[in-house]
Parts: sequence; C-alpha cells; structure tokens
Amino acid sequence: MKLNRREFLALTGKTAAGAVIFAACGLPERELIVQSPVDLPEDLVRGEDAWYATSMSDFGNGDGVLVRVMQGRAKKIEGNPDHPVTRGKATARFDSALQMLYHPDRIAEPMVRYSKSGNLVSTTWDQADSRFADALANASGSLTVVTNPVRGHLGAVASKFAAQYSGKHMAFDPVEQGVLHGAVKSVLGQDQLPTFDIANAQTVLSFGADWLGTWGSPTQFGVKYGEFRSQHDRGYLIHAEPRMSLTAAAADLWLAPVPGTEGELALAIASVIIEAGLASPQNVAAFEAVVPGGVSRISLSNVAALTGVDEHRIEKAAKHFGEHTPSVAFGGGSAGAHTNGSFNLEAIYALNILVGAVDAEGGITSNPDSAIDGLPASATGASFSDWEAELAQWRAGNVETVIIRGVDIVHGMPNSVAIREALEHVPNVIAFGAIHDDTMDFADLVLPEQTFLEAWGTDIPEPGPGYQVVGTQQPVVGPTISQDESGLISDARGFGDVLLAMSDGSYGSSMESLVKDSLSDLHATGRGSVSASSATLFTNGALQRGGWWDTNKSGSAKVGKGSASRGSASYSSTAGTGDGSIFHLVPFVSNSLGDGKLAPAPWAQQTPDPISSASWSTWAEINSIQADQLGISEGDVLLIRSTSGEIEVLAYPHPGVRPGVIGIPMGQGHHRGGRYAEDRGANVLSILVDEKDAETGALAWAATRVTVQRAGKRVKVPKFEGNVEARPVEPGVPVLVVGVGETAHDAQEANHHEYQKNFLLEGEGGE
Amino acid sequence: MLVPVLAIGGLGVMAVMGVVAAFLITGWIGQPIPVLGFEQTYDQPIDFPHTVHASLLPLDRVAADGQKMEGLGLDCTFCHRTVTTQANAGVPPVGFCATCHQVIGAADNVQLSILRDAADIIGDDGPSPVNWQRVHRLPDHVRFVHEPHIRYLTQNPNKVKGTTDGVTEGASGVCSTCHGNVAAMQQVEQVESLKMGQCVDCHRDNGAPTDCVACHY
Repeated sequence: MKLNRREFLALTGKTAAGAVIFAACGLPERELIVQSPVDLPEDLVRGEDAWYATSMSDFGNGDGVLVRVMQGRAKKIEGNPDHPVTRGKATARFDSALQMLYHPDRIAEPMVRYSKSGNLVSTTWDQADSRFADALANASGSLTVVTNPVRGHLGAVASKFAAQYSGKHMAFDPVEQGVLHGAVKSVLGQDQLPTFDIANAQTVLSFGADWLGTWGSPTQFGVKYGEFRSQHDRGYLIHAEPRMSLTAAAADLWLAPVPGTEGELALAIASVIIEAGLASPQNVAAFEAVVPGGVSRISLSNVAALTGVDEHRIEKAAKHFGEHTPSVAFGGGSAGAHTNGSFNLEAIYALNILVGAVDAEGGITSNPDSAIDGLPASATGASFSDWEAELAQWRAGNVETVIIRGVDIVHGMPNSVAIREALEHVPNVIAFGAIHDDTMDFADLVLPEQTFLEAWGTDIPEPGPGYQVVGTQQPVVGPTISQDESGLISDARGFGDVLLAMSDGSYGSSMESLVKDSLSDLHATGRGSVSASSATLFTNGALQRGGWWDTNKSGSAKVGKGSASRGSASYSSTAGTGDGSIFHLVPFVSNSLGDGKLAPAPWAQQTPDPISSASWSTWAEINSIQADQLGISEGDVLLIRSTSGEIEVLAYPHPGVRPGVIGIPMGQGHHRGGRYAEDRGANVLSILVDEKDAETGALAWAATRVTVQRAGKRVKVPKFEGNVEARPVEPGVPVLVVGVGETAHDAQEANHHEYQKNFLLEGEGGE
Repeated sequence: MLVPVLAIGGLGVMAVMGVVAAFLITGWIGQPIPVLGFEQTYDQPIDFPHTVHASLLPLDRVAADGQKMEGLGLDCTFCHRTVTTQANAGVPPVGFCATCHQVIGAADNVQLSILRDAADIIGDDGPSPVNWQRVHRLPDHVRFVHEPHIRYLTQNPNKVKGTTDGVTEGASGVCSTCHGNVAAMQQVEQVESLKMGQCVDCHRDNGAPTDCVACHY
C-alpha cells in the first residue's frame, strides 16, 4: 500500500483521535475499587441509606428535619413527617443548609492572631484552648457572649456561661423581632410568639410579614396555607405590604400602604368593622380596652390619604375580615420595623380581639411555656438601643473578652454603629463558625464550629404549633475525612461543648449529656408523644422521632393592654446624600439566603427569588412606571445612598412595588464567607440609619430613606424571568399574555374565551 | 483487512470505522469480559485466600506449624453480612477481619501484616482502609439486588447451579449460581459472563420478571 505524506498525516491524526476517544471511554480506576473501611457501624451499609431525625436550629426555625445519610455522608435534608412544625415539608433553605457541612471553604482548624494587625495563623486545639483560658482569666465582669437568638440547651449554656463570669449573653438578630415580641406581650400577654390557625380560618389578614416566604415559621405556615386553600371556598387572603412579596403574590387582595402606616390601616379596618356592626359589643369593648383611644379618631378618608390605600379597598378588606369568620390577623416584618413599629403591631394584633379570634379555632393560637425548666422557649435579639450601649462599652475598653457565634455582627450591623472600630477595642475577640465571615477579620481567635448536623442540642420551635414541643438535635454524621484522605475537612467542635469544657462544670459536662438528662426528665413526667419503660428507651424514641411533644399542653393568652401610643412613623433624613430621587427603603429577607447566613451555600445563591427570579446578586425592586419616569431600566446600576452610606445595586423595575418604595433583598455584600459569597452584591443592612422604635428601642430597619441615582453603568440582572420563551402548558392552551392597559383578569377572560372557542371548534369538527 | 477498507472509502471511512469499533470494544470491555476468552481476576492488595476461609475440604496448603490445613467452612454471609438483606453483599471492614487476625495467624505472615497494619494493630501510621479490586462488576445502568436472588435460591435449592465444595443449600451454597465455587478459588475470578443474556435466561427459567425496569431503573 502506498501512502503519500498527506494521507500519512491524516491517518496519524485520526488514529490519535480514535485513541483519545477510546481512552476516554475507559472505566475510571475508582469504579473498580471496593473499599474495606477500617470500621463499619452496623447501621452503615453500603448502598443503603439511613435517615436521622434532627432539628434545624441555625438555618431554620427549629424545623424538624430528616437527614438522609449514606455511608456516613449526609445527602439530603427533608421535612420530618412526624414533627408538628414541619409535618414532612421542606423549603429550599433546608437543601442549601446541607452545603454548609461540606463547604470547600470550611474552617479546618483553630486559628489565632497574635496582634490586632497580624494575620490569622493555624494552631492546635490545645493552644487554642490555652488562649481561650487566658482570655477568660481576666474577663470576670467584662465578658460578653454574642449569639444569634438561640433557644433550647445552647441558649441555656450560653447564658449560664456568661453568668459564671458575671458577663452578659446578648443575642443579635439583624432583622429584629423585639417589636413583635413586645406587641405580643402587651396585647396577648404571651412571652412566646403565638401561631395562627390559618388552616381553619376563612379570612387571613397579614401585614408586612412574608409568612409564606421568610417570616416566622414558613414551613409550618406553608403547610397550613395548603389546608387553607383546600377549604370549600379556598379561604380569602388579604396581605398589606409595600412591595409584592411571595405572600402578597398569593393574596386575593393585596394592599400596598405607605411604609409605616400599617397601624393606621389596621385601625381603619377596625373602624369599618365596628361601624358595620360586624363585631359583638363585648369584643368592641375588649378591643377598645386594648387599643388606647380605640377608633374614635379614625376617619376613613384621612387614613386612605395617609396610607395611600383607597377607601373602597379598605372597606372591602374590613368587611371580608369581619364577615367571613373565623378570621385571623397578624403582622411583623417591615410593618414593625418603624419608629412607630410597636403601635403598628399592637393595632394589628388587637384586630383579633375584635373578631373573637384569640385562642379560637381559625384564629390566634397561643404557645405554652417550655416543657423543661430553665430551657428558653423563646429568644429574640437584644434591642438596637442595648447594642448601641454595649458597643460604647467595647469602644471604651470596658469589655475584656467577646465570644461570638452564629451571627456575623460586622455584616449585620449598620455602618452607623462602627462595629469594626468597637471590635478593635476589645482585647480578646473569639469567634466560632464553620466558614470565615466578616466578623472573623476582627477576631483574635477563630474556632471551627460544628454545624447543626454534627452537634448535640435541642430546639423549641418558635412559633410552636400551639403545644409543648422539644425538638432534638443529634449528630447525623461524624467528622468527615477530606477527599485526599489527608485529614478531616474540619476539626470542628460544638460551641456548647467548648463552653462547657471552659466552664466550672456546674451546669453540665457535654451537650450530649445535657440533652439526654433533659430527655430523662421528660420521661419522668410520663406524658407526651413518646412512652417508654425506661429513660434510655425514651431517649432513643425521642431521638428517632426528632423530639417530644405533648398536644395536651397548650398555651393561653391573657389579653392585656397596648403599651404604645398612637403615632405616625418618622423616617430618616436624606440631607447630604446627594442628588437623586428620594425613596423609602424597604429591605426584605432573601428567600434563599435569609439575612445572609446561607450566602456561602451555592445552592442558596442559585435559588431564584420567587418574585424577580433573580439570583447571585443584589437588585432593587422599583415601580416600573416610576422607573420609566426616571429613565431607569432593568440592569442599570443604581447608587443607593443614605446618611449611613452607599451601595450599588441592579435596577429591577417591577409593577409589584408601591411607587416611592425601593425594595432591596438582604443577604449579600459579604467581604468573606467563602468562594461563593465573597464580594458578591451589596449589603443593604450597612446603609440602614439608626432610627428606632419608640417603645422598644429596636432598630426601625424599614424607616430609612435613600436617594437613588443611576451610576451610569449597566449589568445584566441574572434572572430566569424573560430569558426563556414562555411555552403553553399543553398544545392549544395559549400562554396568558397581559397586554398594555389590560388587567390580568381581562387577559385571562380573553384567553379563556379564545381557548374555549378553539376547543369548541375542535369538538364540532369531531362530530 | 486494511486494503479492502481503503478500497471502500479511503482513510476517512477507516477512521470512522475505527472510532465506531473503539466505542463497541469499549462498551464490551465496560462489562465483564470472560466471553472474550479469558477470565477476569485481579491481584489484590492482600492475597486473601477464600479457600482457607470458605472451603469445607482439606487444603493443599501447610500452616505455620507445619500442619496440613483444612478449610474453615465459614458461610459466605459470615463476612458478606448484608447479602441476605441488602442490595450489596458487603465487604467486611478491616476491624472485622482484625477480630480474628489480631491473634490468629503467624506474627510474621506478610499478608496478615498488611491487614494488621491497616487495622493499626502494628505500625504507627494509624488505621487505613484496604482498597480491593472489584472482580464482579455490572454496568452502571443495571441495578442488581442480592437479597431477592439469595432468598429465591435459598427457598428453591433445586434451582441452584454449581456447588460450593459440594454444598448447594443454605447461605453458602446458593452463591455458586453466579459466582462459581469461590471456596475453591485461591484468587477470586469471574466464571460466569453475567451479561444480559444470562440474566434474562435465568429470569425466564425461573418465572422472574423480564421487564426492562426489573433491572434498568
């Protein structure tokens, strides 16, 4: 055979390509390996999954979950069907929380900083313990333990540890719930947040609280919402919030009041109900006893002008709420985050008294005290006023040691409090965490902390289901070997266990023993969901089910008297913030990232926002007509300035925002937080101005006004919506297209008509 | 063969056929290959003798004390503990082997030293897993669950093919249907093709489902 040079080269090339393809199709070497592990517990079977029940305390609301574990690795988090709060349901946050366990940027070992200007360097636990002990040696009376709001045993241990050193345990919650707790205490006489019997209500009236997305206990509420809509007449949901949240989108009637006027709106609704004779005289008297001044000075037209909600819609909401009972009203979120937040929420919760919904079916359901003595069943962050006072102590050098876990205070606090400067004045800052956060840049000792999937604990869900619950948290996986088998992915320890090891031992030796001892105490009561002949069997039973609950032990409200006087909201000044249009800033909790806790998890980053469908970024929802007037189009980079600072966000013009309001999601803008969160988006919390609720001193985080200006740049908003062509759900069924000047209802009617016509024609043709 | 191929369509056609052949051969090799005329076996990190552990007969092997050895006659399920209850037969963990071999076997036995080192009985490098070479492997698109097969054959010993050193019943006897007489293998090798045709034949013979989704799901 004769080959010329050209043919030879071609043959060589093709042979090489074939060889490459051939090699690429071979079996990977690992496919042919069967490993004998060193030890194999009996419940750890190859190819077989084990499901462990536990509680999600840090990334949920004490939600009871089941974790699927295969060969020692957690694979999936699902809702626990036995648990009274989740009842087998889950949210996207459950899935994402798993990624915190196996995050590639988990802190592998303790790190120490030898001088404030130095770098963090790795150290051993022995040396870290020694450094910790040194930091405590002179800390008596000048120790502050900072946590997220923690209930259950971890909360108890943190408080006792602080008390042992005559220090303080302060919780920080960027989205303060103190106003809500205060209003519930004043109106309903309850320390624990109540839950709501949405499933049996005919009418639900909510204010500011995105309870289907992020507020309260969305998993619990989501299950109830499903039951609410399964009723014969589907129930009727009225939601008042300046921007369209997931809950507003699900509502039958959405009211978009001017931010901070929700209390007036609630009183106007009460006024219509009373005038229409829809409430019994006893209920009216009880209502007027709770609300100072009652509705005597309410004028519907004035309220309509103040709130920007027209009279007709207020009347419609009121009559539905008064006529279609049982009804329930509740509020929170941005409705309470104003200078008159306590008044707003007290007026809202008092509506329940008017329609007899307190401790009634389809109304408010009170939650009882903790089933275990000394175990906190409720937790909220310290007020912003308290934090300002505390940080002044830090700056003055009066606090020797600060221990921080579960919260990124540098990210969560507004610029106005100068948290960085305060931390620099504390000699010993000890930070616990799984992933390096912004606060750890100011820590002298960084300790790797176990996630909720590795540590022991308990949690009492808040709001609970209306009866006593103690959720158990157990390690579902052991320490994980790194992929290259060189060591553990993280030599982490539980926060509670480290504190107990550093304590005098008077309140326990380990979190595991504390949990088991408490379960033994519960066994001794002889009541509840687990019955067993011995404490050990009882403990196992409770751990297998994810906790213990007693449906017979319910709570009851003691209707009190509103403490806040009626007042209008005041907003921050925009003096000196430069040119631009002035807007009310309404931050909202991200559906997937929360307040930023889940920002390190790529699945959480990737989860599209339910309204805008945006992800991986920070955007600003602005009314589309107003955006047109201002020449703002989607993707324009906007400068948002308050007197506290400035951020850059992407414009997202959207009809579901009240004109004059700009809605920005929380959760982004971390300088640290692992490879998926670092330097992504903007931190809206940083530009909040220190306006406070008059009653509780809580940060009025929705009372900031900002100027909005185009930065002169454009970036494509990363979102699903509009990027793919809408397709009919089945051939012949047209996509609902809403034309200019047409309502969705009109469009639906028109399309329905077209569809029917096509259908009838087809039918006729067939005959 | 090259000349006729070139005659058909030149180098391009030959290259395309080469690629197709590569895929076909790869696909074939991706499955057990005894049908190609050789039996599949591998050198293992430890020369584990199934004969010593599973055989019921005197062995052609001498122990450290000079005595002629006999097989221990352990049931297959003694080590492959999950075969009667799970999809996978299971490979025993190192710690399980060490239960006996901490004391059984000569101290200077080279093969046992590897095991003892892995179990951290000797050496100072800590415990480590043992990575065996898989001998029996089905393609990824096949789901094989041991449990129903073992149950059926245990209940129907007349359907068992082959023997384990003469035994056809019980936890050890039935395994020979697919794995041959492992008790007689110094080094385990695949003796059945374990290809789809064999699976389908056996399912037909025994009235088992032959739907695609019985195995491909």
